[in-house]
Amino acid sequence: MTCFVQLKNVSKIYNKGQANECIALNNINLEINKGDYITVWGTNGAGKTSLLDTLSKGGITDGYVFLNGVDITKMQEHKRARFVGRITQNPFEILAESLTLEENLALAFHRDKAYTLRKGITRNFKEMIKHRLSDLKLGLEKRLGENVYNLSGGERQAITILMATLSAPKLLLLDEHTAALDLEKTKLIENLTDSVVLQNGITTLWVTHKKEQAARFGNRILFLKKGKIVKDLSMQDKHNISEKNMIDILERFQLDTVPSEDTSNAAVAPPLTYTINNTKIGNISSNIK
Amino acid sequence: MSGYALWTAIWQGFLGGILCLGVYVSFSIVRFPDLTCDGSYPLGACIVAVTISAGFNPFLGTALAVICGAVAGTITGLLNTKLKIPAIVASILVMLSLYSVNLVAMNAPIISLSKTKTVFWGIENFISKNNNSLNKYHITNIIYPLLFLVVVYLIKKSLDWFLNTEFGIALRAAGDNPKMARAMGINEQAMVWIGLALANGLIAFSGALFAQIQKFADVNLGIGMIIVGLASVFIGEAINNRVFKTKKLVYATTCVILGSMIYKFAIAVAYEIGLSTDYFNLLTSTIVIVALLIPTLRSNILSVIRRS
Repeated sequence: MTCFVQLKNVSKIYNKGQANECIALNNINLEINKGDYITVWGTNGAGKTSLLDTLSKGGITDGYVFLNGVDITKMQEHKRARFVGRITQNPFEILAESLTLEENLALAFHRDKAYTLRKGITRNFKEMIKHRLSDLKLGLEKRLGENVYNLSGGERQAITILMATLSAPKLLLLDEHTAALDLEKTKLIENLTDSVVLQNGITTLWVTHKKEQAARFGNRILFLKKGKIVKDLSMQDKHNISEKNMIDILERFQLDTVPSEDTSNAAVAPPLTYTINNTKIGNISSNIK
Repeated sequence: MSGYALWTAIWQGFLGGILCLGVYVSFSIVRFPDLTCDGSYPLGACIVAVTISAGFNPFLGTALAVICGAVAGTITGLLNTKLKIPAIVASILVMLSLYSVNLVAMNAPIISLSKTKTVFWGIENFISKNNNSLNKYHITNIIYPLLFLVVVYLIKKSLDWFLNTEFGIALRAAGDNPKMARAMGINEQAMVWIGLALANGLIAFSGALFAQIQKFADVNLGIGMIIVGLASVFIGEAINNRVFKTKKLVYATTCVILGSMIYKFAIAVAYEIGLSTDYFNLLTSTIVIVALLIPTLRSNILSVIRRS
């Protein structure tokens, strides 16, 4: 059986062949199954965003990307939008400033449908989004006609989550979408994201550089370093490791120190079901080279 | 200033409003610096002149003019999106080529339409028949303005309708934020072609009507038209920001037409006080600059007042 998303020998190199060549993704192989809720963790420049770009935009230097067994490596970005929803740190990347809230939502709703000459905002649609907006409990259902420019940062990010899920995407990509928010709003958006993903069972990749987020959410975790997936822990692993221990492990990864044999055994004792890059925590440094 | 000049300014503003709506679509909706306007306006005039001189139905000729304008706009869009030529250069290239196209099509720099059947033939016929009972000039000054009011109103209404359809919202989003548009599954390149086709179709329509009411088509008709359109769009935006204070489309399109009327009025005033026509382009540029400066001027003046 083919898996839902498959990345095969994917490499992305900026300025290839020039002096300032920069390898963002280094021969990555990854299989994502339907319903996977993955947190992707790594430091700056680890290739997290490039990994998401591979799925939502394309433009890789080498390799293939398959969705449901279909090659989508060269598919145009706007065609991918039919099944990929993406939320970034800056909500204005997926909001049109000069359009009203309801118009932005209408676009999100039509993402996987054709744009026709029918009225953009119908009464039924208004009722539907009023209902969805009241679920957010931010009072936004009363501000449908306002420009999105008037909304606060947290409200905008909440809207983008709603927009990303309004047309039931097959794949949801979250690119550090809480990075620009304060602690309180971060919690709000985290919980909102979590409930939306779990309720709809959307296959999700959640990129973050916050250890706590990576440890707490999702049922699978990828550790990225210098364009390589250095660790891939499944749900079982994640369950067996307490959140605190996981943060500990992530910290060690960040510091490039090798954990003692005891901790690593405790951490990776269960078999790795999604093993791709079967490296033990002990030999990360060799793997990078 | 005579009421007659004022009245003429108003109804010429209606006619110019069609051109300005076209410029509004390309500059404010698609956000494409489209100078094709200077070529597509005379293109509309030339196509209609050539076709109706050849005995075509004037309505068919006008429709053909609109289609040719739309094609010109699409070519600009294709040059920009497919060949990656910068927007301004692409539109200047098309504008320049259209000058030759117009010359070749007309086979002369000017065609007179004084004896040709235009779309206004019915009205002209009516006037000449009732010449005895009604003053010809009064009829001209009531029927034409009303007719243009209806035409510009219908175009404004259809534009409002179009921009509020699913497709229209997608078009606006593509102009506002191409990145977002792509993420929403919108082919933003196609939106540029369609937006420019619509804009230049409207501009060519305006040119076609102008040629038929003035009874001539001239290849040099288009010089400075883009600035005329922009002047009206900017005046309209200034009005919208000061008076209506809303970003609703219905107001924006209305303000563009109001802007067109104010522009024509300013020109009429200049003419009345005896300014030579040689100065008109300079005057137009000044109007654009003033319209653009209104928001800055206002805040500057306010800050000076507060400080003192």
